[in-house]
Order: sequence, then structure tokens, then C-alpha cells
Amino acid sequence: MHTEKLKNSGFARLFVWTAKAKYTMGLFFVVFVLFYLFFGLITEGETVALDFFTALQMVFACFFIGILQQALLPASKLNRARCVLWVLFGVVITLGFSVVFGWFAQFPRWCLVVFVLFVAVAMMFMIILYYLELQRETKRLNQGLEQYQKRNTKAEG
Amino acid sequence: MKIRVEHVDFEENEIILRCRELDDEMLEVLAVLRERSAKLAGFKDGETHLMQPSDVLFAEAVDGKTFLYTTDAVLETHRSLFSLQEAYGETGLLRISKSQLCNLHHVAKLKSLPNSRIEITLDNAERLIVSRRYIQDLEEKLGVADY
Repeated sequence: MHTEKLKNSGFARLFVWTAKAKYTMGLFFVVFVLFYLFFGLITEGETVALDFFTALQMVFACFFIGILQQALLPASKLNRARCVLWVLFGVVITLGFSVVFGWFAQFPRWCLVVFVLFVAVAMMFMIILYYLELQRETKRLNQGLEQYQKRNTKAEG
Repeated sequence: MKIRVEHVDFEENEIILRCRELDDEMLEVLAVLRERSAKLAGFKDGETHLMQPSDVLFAEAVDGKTFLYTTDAVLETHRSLFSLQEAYGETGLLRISKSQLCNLHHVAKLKSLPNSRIEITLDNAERLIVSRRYIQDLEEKLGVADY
């Protein structure tokens, strides 16, 4: 009975809802780390390190981006305005964290600009690819439907 | 032709045609019987209507009752969604959700939606949603399933 109560509790629902953000959070975290290390590689050489606290800050930034995706882009409410909002908020979070915590302070200024631009473009591409996939699926389904209706009309005839 | 009716204690009615050969008369009787047995009975305002399964756009179960939707009427049937699909699945009726069957021959178009759902638009512009659980069945029926 306690298990059932826990399963249906507000906490459980919030936990599950939050956990759905993990894919986006993980993807963005990898991108953030790789970009940081890449900039370090090209500006400072092969020895570049990402300290624990910067990594932790990146985790939180990516977590917020993932949570916003859950909040702004639930499947049932997907529309252009929400997609634009998500990208905007994502850029603000990325830029905000980068500036406040000085992620790229030791790198040339262009690194921050390139990083934020890349995040914005990557987010837009994620959305575009998602819609393209839906369109591809729709086309495939309708082709299958046409074939099915032709086949079965012939059989009945 | 002699016609005889026997009252017996069988679960299901049975019609047996006895003939030396299937002549035109017997073939006609056979055709009528087959047509009648393939038809679906629906009820409205106390009247029984017989219809072809192909006339059904979709069927829906609501509050323990099953309703058949055609282009110009909504009729109740005593059959369950499960038995409708079992009996008329070959005519295009397919389960699309816990409470609905859809006739694929009356689908005008399909649209893939986010969250693994599919929207069906019927010939009469009515829209239905294929729930996630039944998408695989639909794709298999259409021959587009990814295994």
C-alpha cells in the first residue's frame, strides 16, 4: 500500500518528469565539455583540464536546458513559438552560466561567441530534425496506407 | 425445393443445404445466405439495421456500449470491439485504441505526431488518434513495420 502511495505521489510524478530531461542534459553536457576541451586544445595546447566545479556548473546548466525542454516542449503542445522560446532560453542559460562563472575567461573572446552560437544552432537543428523525422514517418505511413487500400480493393473486386 | 426447419438445442444456428449439385437456384440461395451472414446488425430507435462491415467508418466503446459510426448514422451493436475485430478484421477494421476500432478503407490520410502517436483523418474529415500501444499493429497491417 505504501508502494502504491509512493508511486502515485506528487514526488514520484515530479521525479519521473525530471528524469525525462536526462537525454538532453547528457547530450548537452558532452557538447559543453568537448567544446571547452577543444578550445583549450587550440589555444593552449594538448594539456588542458576541466576542473570539477566548472564541470558541475555545466551539469546544472544542461539540467536547466533539459528541464526547459520538458516544460516548454511536451509532445502534446509542440509548436513553433515554444520551439523558439526553448532555443532562446537555452542560449540565455548557456551565455549566463558562461559569463557568470567565467568558463571561457582564459580563452580568447571569440571562443564564447562560437560556443553560444553553436549551442543555438544545435538546438535549432534538434528541432528541425525532429520535425523532418515526423514528416518522413507521415509519408511512409501514407504510402503504406495507399498500398494497403489498393491491395484490398483488388482482392474484394 | 423443400424447406424444413428443425428446432434443436445447439449453441449456434446452423444452415445446411442439401443438393445433388449446386445449380443456379442453390447458388442464389447460397449467395443470399452468405451476404446476410456477413452483414453487421446495428440498432437505432428500436429498429435493427443491417449493414456491410465496409460501411462502418469506425467503432467506439463508451460506458459499456459499442457504437458503429457510418457516414450518415450512429448505431449501437451488441458486439464488443474484440468480437468485431475478430469477425471483420479482414474487411479493414483495426483496433487503434482501448476504445476504438477504425476501418482502414475509410482513412483519407495519416499523420505522425510527437510522442509516438498517429492521427487518422477519415473520409468524413473526422479525426482519430492511434495510441502508442496499437501503432505496431497498424504498421504491420500497412506493411511498414520496422522490426
